[in-house]
Amino acid sequence: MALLEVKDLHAKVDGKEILRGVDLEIGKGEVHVLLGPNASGKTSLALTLIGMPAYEVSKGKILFDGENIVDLNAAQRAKKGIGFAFQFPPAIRGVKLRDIIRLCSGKGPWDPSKEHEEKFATEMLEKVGLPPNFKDRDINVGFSGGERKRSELAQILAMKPRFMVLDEPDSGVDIDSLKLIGKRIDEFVKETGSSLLLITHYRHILQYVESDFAHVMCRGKIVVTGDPEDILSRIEEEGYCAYVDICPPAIKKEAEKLMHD
Amino acid sequence: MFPKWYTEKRRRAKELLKAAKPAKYGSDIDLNAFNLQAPPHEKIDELTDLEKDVREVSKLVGTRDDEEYRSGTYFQYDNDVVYLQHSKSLKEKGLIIRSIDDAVQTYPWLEKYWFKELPIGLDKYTTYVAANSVGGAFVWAQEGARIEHPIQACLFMGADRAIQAPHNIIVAEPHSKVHLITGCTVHPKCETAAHVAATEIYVKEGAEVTWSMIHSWGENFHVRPRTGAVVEDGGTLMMNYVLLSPVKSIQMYPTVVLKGKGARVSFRNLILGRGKSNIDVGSGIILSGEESRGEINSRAVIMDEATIDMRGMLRGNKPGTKGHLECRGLLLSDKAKARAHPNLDARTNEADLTHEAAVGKIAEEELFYLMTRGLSKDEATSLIARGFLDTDIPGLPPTLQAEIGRIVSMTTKEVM
Repeated sequence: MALLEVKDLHAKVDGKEILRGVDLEIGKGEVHVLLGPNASGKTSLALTLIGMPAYEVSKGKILFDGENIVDLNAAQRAKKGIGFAFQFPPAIRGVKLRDIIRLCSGKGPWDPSKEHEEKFATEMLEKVGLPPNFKDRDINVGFSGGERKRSELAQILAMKPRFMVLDEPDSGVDIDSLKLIGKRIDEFVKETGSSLLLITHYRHILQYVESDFAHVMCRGKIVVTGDPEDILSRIEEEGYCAYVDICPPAIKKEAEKLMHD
Repeated sequence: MFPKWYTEKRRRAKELLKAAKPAKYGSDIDLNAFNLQAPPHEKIDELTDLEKDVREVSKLVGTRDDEEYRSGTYFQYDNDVVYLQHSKSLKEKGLIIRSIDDAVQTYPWLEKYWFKELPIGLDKYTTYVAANSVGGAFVWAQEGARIEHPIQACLFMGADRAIQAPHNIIVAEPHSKVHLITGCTVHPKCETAAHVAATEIYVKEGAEVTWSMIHSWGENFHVRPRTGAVVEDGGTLMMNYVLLSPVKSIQMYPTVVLKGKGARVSFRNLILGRGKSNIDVGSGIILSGEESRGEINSRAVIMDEATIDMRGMLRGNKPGTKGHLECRGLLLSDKAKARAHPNLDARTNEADLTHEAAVGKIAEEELFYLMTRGLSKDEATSLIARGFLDTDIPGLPPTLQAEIGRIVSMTTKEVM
């Protein structure tokens, strides 16, 4: 049995349908890459999987470990072992990174009188290459793009999820951050046997994260599933037009012309 | 024996009281409904001699009964100073703590400070204290005296239907440094009462004063503290205010005059509005000294059916002055209300005055973010509320700061 089985999933935001029948199966320890043009529904799928209230499931099922989790809230899904790294995490004043990291690990809030508790947060930060003083920073307040991605990853690693969704952990980060983030993700998957759905636009991160399948999304559906290398090569050559009928005819014509030249 | 000027001033205040006007803000309290007399309390030898209830609640307003990390203690129970202590070495260093009634007899020169920065006729509460004050602390840091640990003053109320009316004066002579923590609280058995107070702070050239006022009342208490302060050349004043308990009504508007060149003041107000509390808290800064600087930072978490008005006033009288006002209110219930009233008054085109204000509920996005980390909605709300009030209060002892955090998270969790 697959760890995650998404069956004919439809979801709406403000009455507007944004997922139109997604089917997806992810086995234990598998790494799946989710590709697709902007606004194709990648983040919407992720947010629906983790239970954002605005994403109302109108049809279909999300089976996690065989149980339909559609009616569970985000906290309950997290407790089941689903971790999510945000593409644009919010800044929350006064809430310290050290407290979040501890809470992620299922422990109580940070107790300043206990030294070993401090170690846990700093260890997690060290893993993602953030300096120890970040533990006292308010979450995401004044963080650079790369720092946000690293902090998201530190939290996810602290959660030790059985299944994680990482929404563009590689966007807006420099080459060193990318390498570190990619390596940590790969390591974690291999060490823990966690499954991963990785949303990205670039193949670069896949140099570090070994992946099993790639999917291309378009207009709220997964339209292609296959070998990551094959799919990425074709997208790089031909653009998403190769797989999906999304290009306005004029642009498609132009693209075809360019390719033939 | 009281000096003549003192008895004369009290007599005049009593006259004025007959026609005294209500305060500009807040509901009008009939002070005659409360009794100025209270049963007497005996002096104690150690703070630990106080009954357990008294010790426990006074701890919540920063009074340590072991007196560790404190340079001195003033403890007033209703109208009696039951305990007053500070080490001899600090006396030698130049720190004097007295009850005000005692100080006025020992130091008749206090006349020059007596209701000078706080006009007797400001409103009826000020006049009431001027006419009837019983107790209050006098803290005097002599020239160059640098006092490391804070002094704690606890104003404790035990008598029902009583009114407590202390008058505090802090005088920091040039280049001295002193921190006073005033904790005001009540016996759990005391149901209804009023607290009016007058506090005057004089910060001389190059001196540094921190005054932290921590309040914990009952839901049937009316509270009207009045504060006036002046800061001279290069002096610094930090005003901290913390309110974490329900109260019937509280209204205050401490105002600081930055008279000297380069004088500075910073206000930090942390408020947890609970129950049916009616809270009206302002902070005022008058920038009259060249290049003087002032900032006000108010944070309030409002829950249940509480109401808050956060006021702030910056008046720039001189070129090169700079002031910033920040008010943030977080509403945790549909019935809670918060209003921000910033008032910037530049009287020269070279005064630089700014403000930021925001009131509203917790962003859904923030709640959701924490929920994806496994926190329930209540836990997430409590964590955000606690974080919201977790601004660093300069000079406040860390244990007290941690205690504030603990109370905020407990309270917000229990009500959700």
